[in-house]
Amino acid sequence: MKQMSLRAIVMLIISGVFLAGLIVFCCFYVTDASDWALYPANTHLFNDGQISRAGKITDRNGTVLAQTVNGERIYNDSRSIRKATLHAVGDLDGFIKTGLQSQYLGALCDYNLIDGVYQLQNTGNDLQTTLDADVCATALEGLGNDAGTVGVYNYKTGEVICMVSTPTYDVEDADDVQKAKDGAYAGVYINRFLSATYTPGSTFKIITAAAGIDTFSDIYEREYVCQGGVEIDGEWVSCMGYHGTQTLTEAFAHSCNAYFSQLAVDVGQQKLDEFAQKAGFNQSFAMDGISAATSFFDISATRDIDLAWAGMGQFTNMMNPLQYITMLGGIANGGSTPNPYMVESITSPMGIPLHINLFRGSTTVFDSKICAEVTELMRNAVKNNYGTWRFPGLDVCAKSGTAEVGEDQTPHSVFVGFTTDEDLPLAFVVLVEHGGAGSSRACNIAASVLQSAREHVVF
Amino acid sequence: MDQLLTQIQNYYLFAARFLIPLICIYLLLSCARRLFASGKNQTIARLVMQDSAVDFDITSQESAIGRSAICDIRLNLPSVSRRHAVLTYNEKFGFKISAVGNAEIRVNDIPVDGYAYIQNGDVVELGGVKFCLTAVQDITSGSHSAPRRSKGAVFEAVMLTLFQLLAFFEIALHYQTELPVSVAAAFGLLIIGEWIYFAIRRFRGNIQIEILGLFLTTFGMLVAASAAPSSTMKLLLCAVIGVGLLSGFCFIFRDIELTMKLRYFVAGATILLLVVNLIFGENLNGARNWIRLGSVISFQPSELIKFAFIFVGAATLERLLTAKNIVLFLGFSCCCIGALFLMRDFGTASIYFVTMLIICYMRSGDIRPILVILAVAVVGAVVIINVMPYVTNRFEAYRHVWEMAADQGYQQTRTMIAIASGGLFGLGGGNGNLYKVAAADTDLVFGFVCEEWGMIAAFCICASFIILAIYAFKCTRRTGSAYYAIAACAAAGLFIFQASLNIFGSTDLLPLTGVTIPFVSNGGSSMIASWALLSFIKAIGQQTGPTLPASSPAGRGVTSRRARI
Repeated sequence: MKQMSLRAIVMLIISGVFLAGLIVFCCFYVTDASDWALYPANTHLFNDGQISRAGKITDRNGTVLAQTVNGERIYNDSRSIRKATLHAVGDLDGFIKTGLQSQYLGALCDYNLIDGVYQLQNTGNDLQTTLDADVCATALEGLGNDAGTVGVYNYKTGEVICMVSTPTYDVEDADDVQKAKDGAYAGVYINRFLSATYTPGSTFKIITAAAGIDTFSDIYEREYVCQGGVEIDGEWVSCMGYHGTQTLTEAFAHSCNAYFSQLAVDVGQQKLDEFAQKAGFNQSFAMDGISAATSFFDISATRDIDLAWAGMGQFTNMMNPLQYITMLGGIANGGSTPNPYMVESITSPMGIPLHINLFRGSTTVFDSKICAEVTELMRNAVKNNYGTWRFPGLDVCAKSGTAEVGEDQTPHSVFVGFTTDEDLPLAFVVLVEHGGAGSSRACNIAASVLQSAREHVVF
Repeated sequence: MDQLLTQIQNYYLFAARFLIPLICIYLLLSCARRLFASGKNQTIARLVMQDSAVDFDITSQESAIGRSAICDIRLNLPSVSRRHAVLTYNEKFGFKISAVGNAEIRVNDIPVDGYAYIQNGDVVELGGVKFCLTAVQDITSGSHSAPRRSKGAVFEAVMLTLFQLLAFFEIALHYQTELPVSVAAAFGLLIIGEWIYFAIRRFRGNIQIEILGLFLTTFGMLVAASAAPSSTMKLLLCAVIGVGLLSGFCFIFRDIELTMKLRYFVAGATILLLVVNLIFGENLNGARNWIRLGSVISFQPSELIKFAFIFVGAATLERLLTAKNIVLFLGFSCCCIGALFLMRDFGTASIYFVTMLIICYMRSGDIRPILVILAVAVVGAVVIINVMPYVTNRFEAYRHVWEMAADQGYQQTRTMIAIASGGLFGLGGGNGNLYKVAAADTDLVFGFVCEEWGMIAAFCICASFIILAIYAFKCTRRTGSAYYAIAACAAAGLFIFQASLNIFGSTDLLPLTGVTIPFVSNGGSSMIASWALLSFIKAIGQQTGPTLPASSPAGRGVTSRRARI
């Protein structure tokens, strides 16, 4: 019988293999089970592939953006709020990947590894955002039928109060969107604030100016001549006007191409590159764990003329609105800012807070001295160029941009900046694709959105 | 009223879903502790070496004697063969010594041809060494292995019933006023029936084996109650038949001689049944493995034959060492597996195949031929996968189920969704959605249990099979006959392999083959077969050393049966 018991060791081996298989299964469970549970075929959470059990999503004032009533997902009553907050909230089919209903689906449905989809009340968890539905609606109104994006956030706390992306659609017309074949809704599922990158145009002069301030201690005495443009490397860089001899303050207010192309060349490749990195180019940004597209800046091995174009925000430069707004917030806040976020809280039906975000972190841009000087330049630009009358009751610092995007296309209209008001510390990015001059179209939208924020938002 | 019931259901579930896994774990730990408690072997007799002061205790009904280190009685002398003889004890005939091959044995100086029965006081000579067989009365009186384990079985029985009640109320609250009477009756009868059985057995012996079987059966009935309520009662009846078979077989197994003789009869009956199946079988889901008797009863012979397969395959130590005829068994295996191939039941064929490998290894102890067979089988499997469209289809989806979630990967993806939805504690009996998918209560039953009862409970099912396997392993050291050892290991191996195919197949770690989890999957034939197979595992622990023989040779005195010369 001794030999039998020796042979029976095979039973231990078989049990061991079985156990190993179960452990492998457990590993898959830990890594993949949330994908399994949140697959739209899960009839516990979805009805015909559409979310049927998820809690409320509300804005900062408790206005319901989306909620589930009798197994059906109902959005806000107002069509314009539905459209304006669509990309933040997300659609019913999960096409908008960056929407909260996709990214926070597990939390909204109350799925977790331990309890699966079990919930005593069977209602899902509620999510409160930092957005303000009215401000978003104002931004949407401003963008109209054009593609573009508006983002506004409090650079002292990180709360995003407005994030709108166009083109958008009304969830009640979702069927039309899917059926549309003529490209009328092309790119409608993309949240441009997070997932797009744009040529920054003249708004990049903020970074070139910062690099100049750091490079030359006598920067305010340095003068360059604008003759309606300037010749660099035998190529003509044209300017919007004939500015003559310019200082930094004047050139920034007029957005003088001739000045900044010469400054960029003098600052040099290394310094400009260093400041672009500090501003967040080539870095990955994320908001509430939702990754954004990466901004792009590369002037290695380029000629002076390329450097000049890069210094004015053309060349191959690409900015991402989230990265840009964070940079602006950093400048406004004296060098560093809490990272923008829009998920304020997630609460279980019993009122237990589930979203504890202690590690949102912050982003540092330039030295506080440089930030203060850039702020002054931007303030001056509003005073002398865009007009403080556009922003009644607010101290706004800003820079416009008219980003050339192709030979026979209308340039993108960009307007970025921040307010310096103590009780309304907002940084903003407005971008209208093919919207023309930044100082008119985008500037007007910024003005109306900031006024709306002034009326509606209390921090 | 309805609202109140729903409230009660919600809060009951809130508590029960934590309690049930806890009780399951506790029950299993308790069973495992009892089953793994190392019982000491009784010394049946003693071989006293003449001309020397060396004694050998005989602690098993079957002992190998020889020069090899794996022999129970090791005689490290050049004149002794590596495996020289087998000493067998049988209650009816007493001791019997059989020569291995042409080994030379003398009993009372008379040469033995083949085997001889010996008595207390007989002198056995092996390769020039002389022994005297001595009964030992005084040693056995102090041993106490069997009664000791009976102490805690009442506790385990109570835990089992508690689990059954808690789980049943979950189901009952799910159906609320629409609870089918047959479901309630089935659970009532299950609990009453098991207590009657325990009472008859007086909670004695290794009754934890039956408790594990009932534990698994309860899961089977819970799945049935939720997925196909009308089949719950049928399942209970099959379990009752199964327990009856278990008791009957365990009784037969006590007589190893009879068992060995019955093997030929069973082998014949099996082949007959397979032929009948091949001729009259009905096609269901691509496999022709159903037989219909009248309009009510239909069953799967391939399930029932699992028992016969092991029954025929196992053999005593004497048989293994004196007559090395594994060829007959291999021939029988080929018949069975070949028949399953003709029925296109490839999942079951693979189970038979693995069981055959385990039996072959347990019989021969030689790994090389098994590796050769395995290699041939792998080549064969690759050919089948590429030739048979029905199988190819399933393999196409393997590891790509999410890309084919709407067609070939449908069942697997729904199973994984169910598992993830259930989490560790489940959504409660009857609250799952997997029942909408075809074969949810059979092929996908792991997902079904995970969704409604949680992953912990599902893992308890897995743990039960592992406990049975380890029990089989531990008992081989002290069981009476090699027959029990081979049969128990084969049965436990079959359980585990079958559970693996089901669990890993439905979760896409292996290709989906469509086999059942023993006891748990909804199916009458499967339930009966599982209980019948469990009897092998029950039998291995049944006789931990034979019932004290020392008195009988002494009592029978001098009416000595002489060695056959």
